[in-house]
Amino acid sequence: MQILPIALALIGAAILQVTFVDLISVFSIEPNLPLIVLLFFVPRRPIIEGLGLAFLSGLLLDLLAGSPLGLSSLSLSVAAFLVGAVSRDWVEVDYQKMARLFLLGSLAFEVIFNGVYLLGSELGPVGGFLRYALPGAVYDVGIGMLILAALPREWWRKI
Amino acid sequence: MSVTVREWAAFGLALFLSLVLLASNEHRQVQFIRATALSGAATLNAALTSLRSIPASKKTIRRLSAENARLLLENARYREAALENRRLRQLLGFRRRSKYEVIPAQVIAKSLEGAVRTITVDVGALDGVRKDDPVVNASGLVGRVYLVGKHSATVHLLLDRNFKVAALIERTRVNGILSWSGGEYCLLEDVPARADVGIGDVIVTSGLGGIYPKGIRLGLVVEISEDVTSIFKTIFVRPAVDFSRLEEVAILRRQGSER
Repeated sequence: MQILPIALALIGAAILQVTFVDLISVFSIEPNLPLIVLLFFVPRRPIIEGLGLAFLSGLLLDLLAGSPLGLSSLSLSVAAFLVGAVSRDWVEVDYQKMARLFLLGSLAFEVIFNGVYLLGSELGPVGGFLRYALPGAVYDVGIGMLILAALPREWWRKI
Repeated sequence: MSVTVREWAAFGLALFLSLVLLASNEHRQVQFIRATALSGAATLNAALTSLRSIPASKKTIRRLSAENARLLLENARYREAALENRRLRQLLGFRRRSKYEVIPAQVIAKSLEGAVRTITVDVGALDGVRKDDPVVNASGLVGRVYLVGKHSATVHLLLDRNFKVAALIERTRVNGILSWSGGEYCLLEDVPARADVGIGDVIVTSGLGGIYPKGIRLGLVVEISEDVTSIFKTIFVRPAVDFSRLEEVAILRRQGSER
């Protein structure tokens, strides 16, 4: 798969994230579309390319969303690296494997993103994890799996 | 899972660059880049956001018509009160209060990613918006302008950890500091343990600090917790604004201010 369509998908996801995704927020928790798109493509690309995509789409997301510049790129880079490393020898995936990848990547992203942002706040690390990181990760996995289920299996089964 | 040295190095570089950026968020050049990018994205965001408002526009017109009628009545009452207030002030020799210019704005992007709570509005420096200008809607204080582009601005909401405002319990005139509690409520701090405060009390801005005008509604007291060892009360406040339904806001700019 060429890198340009992936980059375009990430840009589209980042724009949708700040314009429409609040419509499906639950208890002020939103799924993160660029993260879901990234976690879908990372196992299909070399780790360094995945890292580059994660870093740049994180910067774009921070610029569009008004979050501190560097926060999403840091969190997405860690998520992409972990998922890329875990899946590097895989040749085929099924729903279960993709769910595991989504969960690993989402948890890494949400823990770092919220952990850094809430550093020193009243909520504390456990409160931040329970209030934002865990529900956010669960929502990301749910939406990721729904998107996967809507796509023909032949498109994503082979890595 | 075997990662090559080159991949580790790339990972390290990505982390290093991200951390450098994170540490330089308040740097002037970084702020300039963010403001420029914000302006570039604003047109696209505005076009996309207008798509979602089309189905709701009929309903909005009906709601606004009813709201308009109610406000006309309320305005008439306030006009009377203002006249009376002016007469009394003249009697007491008070200085005329500074006035704020109201800049109406449309929300064109929202971010509720995790604990980050921001909105982007379709007015910016060319419309007279400045950093730290207060943002309100009909219900009360929404937040404060954080980043200003040419035609757009990013606003930190009341429910963001970067937000703090000097507040006042409307009924008893007790001062405190309102900040985000970490959840969907705010925390009113520095209120003495012996202060008179009850559930349902209205919290407004106190005007101290000079950024926010006095009397803007912040929320209602929903919970009071008292610790015998503390000289302060912990008061939880439900924000007056429903942040999930923000569509139109107004930016207040002190007339003649040049920050």
